[in-house]
Amino acid sequence: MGRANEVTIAQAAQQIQSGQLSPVELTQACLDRIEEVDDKINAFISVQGDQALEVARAAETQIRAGYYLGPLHGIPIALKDNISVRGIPNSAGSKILRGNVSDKDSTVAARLKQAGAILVGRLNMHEFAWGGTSANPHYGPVRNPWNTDRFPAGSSGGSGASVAAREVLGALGTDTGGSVRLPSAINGVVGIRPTIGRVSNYNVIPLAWSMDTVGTMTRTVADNALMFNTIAGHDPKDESTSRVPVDDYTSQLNVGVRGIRVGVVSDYFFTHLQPAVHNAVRGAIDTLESEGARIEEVKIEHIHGNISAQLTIESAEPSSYHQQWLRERPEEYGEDVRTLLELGELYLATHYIQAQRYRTLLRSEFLEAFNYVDVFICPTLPFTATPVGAMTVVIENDEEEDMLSAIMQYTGVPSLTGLPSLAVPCGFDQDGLPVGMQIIGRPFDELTLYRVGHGYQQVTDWHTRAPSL
Amino acid sequence: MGERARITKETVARLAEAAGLPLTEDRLELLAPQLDDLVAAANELNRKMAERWETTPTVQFRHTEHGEERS
Repeated sequence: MGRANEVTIAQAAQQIQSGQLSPVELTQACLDRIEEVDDKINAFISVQGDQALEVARAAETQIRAGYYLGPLHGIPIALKDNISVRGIPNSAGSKILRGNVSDKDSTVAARLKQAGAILVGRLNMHEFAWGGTSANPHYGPVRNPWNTDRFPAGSSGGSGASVAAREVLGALGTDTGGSVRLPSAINGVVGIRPTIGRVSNYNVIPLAWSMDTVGTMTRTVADNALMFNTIAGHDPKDESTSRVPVDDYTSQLNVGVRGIRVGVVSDYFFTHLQPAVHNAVRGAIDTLESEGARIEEVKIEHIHGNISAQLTIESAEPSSYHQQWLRERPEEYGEDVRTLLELGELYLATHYIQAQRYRTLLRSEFLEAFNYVDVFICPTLPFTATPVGAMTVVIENDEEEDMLSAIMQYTGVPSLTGLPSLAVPCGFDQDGLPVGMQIIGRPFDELTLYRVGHGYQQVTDWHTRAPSL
Repeated sequence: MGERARITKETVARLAEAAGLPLTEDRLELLAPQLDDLVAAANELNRKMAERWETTPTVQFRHTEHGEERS
């Protein structure tokens, strides 16, 4: 039998409810694991070990007394450093907000606490979430547990690395242009970008308001659905959240994929990517087909142009949030984030508005396509983990490309359209680095994403493999 | 269509001045080629969107003063 921290949330929940596993034992195992490996991957900015153990002891007492709150009761989880927890420093991975202590919980943290989850620490990230490498200049770079010379992607790099390294059973990240899905794919874990408005952003430090959302990151799809059940839903404190009723996201996990219509946009998502990524994602599509899914080739007329639209919006909105700090304390930003924030001030208003109009157009084309398919499947990103600190990447023909444009090539589509998207591990490259696919769904249809993702994990074992640290 | 005008450090200096963003000479040098690439792509998107005059940006307001529920 493995160590306590190696179990999934679903397994731990069963054992905790039946009294086989103590929340204190589980929390201690996670803290021991953090102590053992975090100096190699630098996933945590801070660990609140004593507080976590105190909450774990209280959970144990409650459960023994018959007050079991549900599947997250007694489960150790960690939050990205831009998601506020009352009384705990949250800096969004920045020097500017170092020492900032929130006096209020974010709604997602409050919901996790109410569900009995144990928050063990603050996860390292790309500074202010504005970048995809998690090479943080203030707290050190996060490293990939599968190869510590490689990056964990980002911006929720600490979230992806900590879950993959079995430091915690689940984590929260935030996703604007791909920041949950990219580190999920690159670290071999599962991550969801929900429909925009499905999850509250209250007391989450923003990057780009019109695209920001919180997402859950776990080792399995089933665990992800369990965590998502807790955080999804309307929040009166966040006007942008929707009143569309939430589902029980675990309710269709075991329905299987037979009859599901899978859309594939080959002339965009499969034209410029590393062969290992191409083969792994095509292999996943073949697997789903052999399980009874129907594969349909789809054209999305205006899909080209999405990277520019995303860069424009993701430049202009953060620069308006950071406007004052950028004038008063520019030297306190890391060089890459400072440059992006400065550039974001120099676009014209018409560029921003055309980018917003483009979102309407792209969304309408996807909504039309959803008359014929239930989900789309594509790679999460076109390459596997690059060396820590690299600002360029080679995808094909030995040509170096700018990291930021290359990394958001596929994740930007759901971000711009507001559609939900689930990153699921689907293989490894020749160097043993994980590959992930994206399953994109209709608005508020996370249920189908979990159904397809879990169906895939029932017949594959990529998600059961662990990095050796 | 003729060759487009490149964005130079002088262009960046004028834009930054208009935005009230103080930038040193080395920042102007650094930003000019990057902004040139970004704006070229954004202008290309502008041209595409000009063909789609009927598409509007999605802005959502809640008219709570008229009894609409807040979100």
